[in-house]
Order: sequence, then C-alpha cells, then structure tokens
Amino acid sequence: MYYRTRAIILKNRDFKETDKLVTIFSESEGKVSAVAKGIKKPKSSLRVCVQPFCHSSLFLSRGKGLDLITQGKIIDFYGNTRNDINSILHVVYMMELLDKTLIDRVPVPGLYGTTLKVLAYINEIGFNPLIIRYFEMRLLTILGYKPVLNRCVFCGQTTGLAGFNLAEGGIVCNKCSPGAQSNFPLFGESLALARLLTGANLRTLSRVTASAPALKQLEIFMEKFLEYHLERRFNLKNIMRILKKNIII
Amino acid sequence: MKLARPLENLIDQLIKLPTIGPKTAQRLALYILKIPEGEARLLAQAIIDAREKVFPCPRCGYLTDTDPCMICRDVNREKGVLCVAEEAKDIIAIERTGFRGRYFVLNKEFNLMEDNNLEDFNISGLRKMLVSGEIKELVLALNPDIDGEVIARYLAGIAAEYEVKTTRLAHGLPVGGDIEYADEITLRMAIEGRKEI
Repeated sequence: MYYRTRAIILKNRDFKETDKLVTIFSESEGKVSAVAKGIKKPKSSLRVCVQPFCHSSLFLSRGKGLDLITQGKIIDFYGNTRNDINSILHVVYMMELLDKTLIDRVPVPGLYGTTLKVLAYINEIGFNPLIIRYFEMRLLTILGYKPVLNRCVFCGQTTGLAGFNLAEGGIVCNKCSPGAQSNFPLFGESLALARLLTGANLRTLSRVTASAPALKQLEIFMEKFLEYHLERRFNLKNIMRILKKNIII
Repeated sequence: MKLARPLENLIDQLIKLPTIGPKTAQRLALYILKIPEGEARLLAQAIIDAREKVFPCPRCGYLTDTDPCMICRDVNREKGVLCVAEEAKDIIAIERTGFRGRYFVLNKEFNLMEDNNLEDFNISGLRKMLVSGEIKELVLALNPDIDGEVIARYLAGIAAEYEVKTTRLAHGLPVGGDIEYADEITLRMAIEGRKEI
C-alpha cells in the first residue's frame, strides 16, 4: 500500500551498500523509518530529498517492518542555513531532539508546524539562540512537560522564589523549597525570558534583545530540564561544546 | 533442499559479504567447487594473507603491508600538501585523479546523530605531521554532507593551531551531467562556487 506525505528529514544513516535508512517526521504519520534505495549512487534523484532537515514531499510504500521511499520532491532545502555552520549545528540539534522524543507513527501536527516555522525563520533571518530555546519550550509543552514559571509549583506564591525545581517541573518558593541547594538558579532576566518563551510567538521573540549571560543561563536551564524529563542526552550539545572550545563556531 | 554441510557453511560465509544475497552466495559457492583445487587454495590463501598482512599505515592510516606505506615512502610526492580522507577507499579514488600529495586517513565513520564524538578521532598522527612544519596546505576530502562539514570545521580548527592553510574539495555539478537534472542543493553550491574564465 502506498501513501504520500510531506515530511521533515530528521536523519539518515548507511544501510546496505548503496541504501540509506532515513528517519522522517511526517505530517500525517509522525516519526517513520524508511529505506531509500540506491541513494548513494550519483544518479539517484531521491538523494537530495532525504538530506537532513530538508522539507520534502515523499511517496512511500508501506512495508512489514520498514517503509520504502519510492519517489520524492523537495519543498524547501533551507539553503541559507546550510551555508552557516552554527545554524547547521543548531538545526541538526532540533532534528536530534525530535528524533529522540517522538514516538513512531504518532502524528504531532502542532510540532510539525512549529518545526517548519523555526526552520524557515533561521533560513530567512539567521541563527538566533532564543529561537532554538523557543523550539525546546514548544517541544516540552506539546509533550506535556510545560514548566510552571509564574508561581510556586506547591503553594502558588508569586514572591520569595527560590529557583526552579527540576523534579517538580516548576518554580518553588523559599517556604516550600525542600532543599534550596538542589534548585536551579533561574532568576531575573533568564526567568523573564523563560516566561516569555511559554507564551510569545516567533515575531515577538525576534524583537527581543537579551544579555549574553541570561541567554547562557537559559540554555543551561533548558538542557538540564530536557535531560531530566526526557531522560536523554543530546549528542549535538556535546559536539557544539567541542567546536566552541576550538573557537570554530 | 538439504545441502552438504561444508557447502552450506561456505554459502553462510559468502552471504556476509556486502552486496551478496542468498542466490549470489549460492552461485559463488558452486563456482568455487567447480574451479581447480589449486585455484581455490590460492583464493583462500589470498584472503588469509590480506587479513594477516595488511594493516593501516602508522603514519597516514592508508592500508599497507609495509611500515611506512609506499605513499609515505615515495620521495617524489609533494610534501607540503596533505589530503585528509575518511576511509582508505576514498584514497584509492583520489589516487586515480593523479593527485601527488600525501594522505592522512581518519579510518572512522562519523555520524552526527549517532552517539559518537569528534574527540574519538585518532588525530595524533595528523598533529605530528602538522607540527613538523612541512605541511603548507591541508586538503579536506570529506563527504559533501553535514557530517563531512562538521568534521571539516573540527580539523580546520586543529590546522589553524599550526597556522596551516586548509582547503575543501569543491561542491558542484558532475562532469557530463545535465544542469536540467541537477538537484537544488548541488546547483546552488555550483553557483556559489562558480569560477571566472
């Protein structure tokens, strides 16, 4: 049985001599693993459609185990993003987040739309760390892990806050906080940015200017929160750290 | 159908080779049974010899049976140009072009999305070559994909420590191909990398 779908390519890896095993985030089917045959050959017309973070229209044949990609047409390959190593790494990080959190064959239309919007934004405007944090927050929200940021997660108190408790998934106050040492120090500008991410859209975020220390603190917070609740480590974070250490990005 | 045990064993071993399916494995096994015994022994010995005697060159990583390999020993090669490739098979392809520089093979597959690390590359040999001061240009012959791009950036960073010029192979249209049938990404890269004539 055949089906046609629009999809974002999450990753591909070698599979047999000239084939690749492609993981796609399909609009109608969710995360699907499919084989693209013969795409390592120079004449393959399918090869470009299954490059990471391409938005493609694919024609697939449903298999017993893996599906087979039989035809494809590229919708957008985000050419500007591909010219900038920093943008590439962050967009591939988004793909890794999706790959490691989505469940096979469960469509998530809201997240699909958000991913396309973020990809288009980075391609047109350029890399912005706040937009990547926005994507992380949207992902957490859609998966049901939206953090409580405007009041104490226990008593609802809005003053005397003692940081963010990862296990409870929210801000805690001095009175309720069981062990203030274990709380993540999310205060001031970084807390305001985190609150903004839960409600603002891309257009609003693109006008926001934030200090570098606040952005760094927000990045660390999001990484810890993602790792705690999704129980995954993200390889791209490690790779970006190595490249930054060598002052390459 | 029941096959003789040694024949079945031979088919089971051949099927493990790349591009060999069950039917091809059976055809090859039956062919091996037909050839003279001496030839079959030569084939078996060739496999054993290659497995036992061929190893990655300690200097450049290219497959060799001598230390150093014939490329590292060749005094007529350009000493200032060092080409870095992911695997030995890439060197074989580059050698066919008439390139006369020296090589360094990473001998490790890298995939950004799998859990592997840039620091797992054994590049102490590369650092040794760079520190010698002989290398004037590092040519990165890596696959034109995202993984290749990231490795290239990593290696370029290392080369920069030694103030060595780094270049990458050009991306673009294949010779004899049709522009009409070129894909969007390749064509865009070909336009960006256009040359004045």
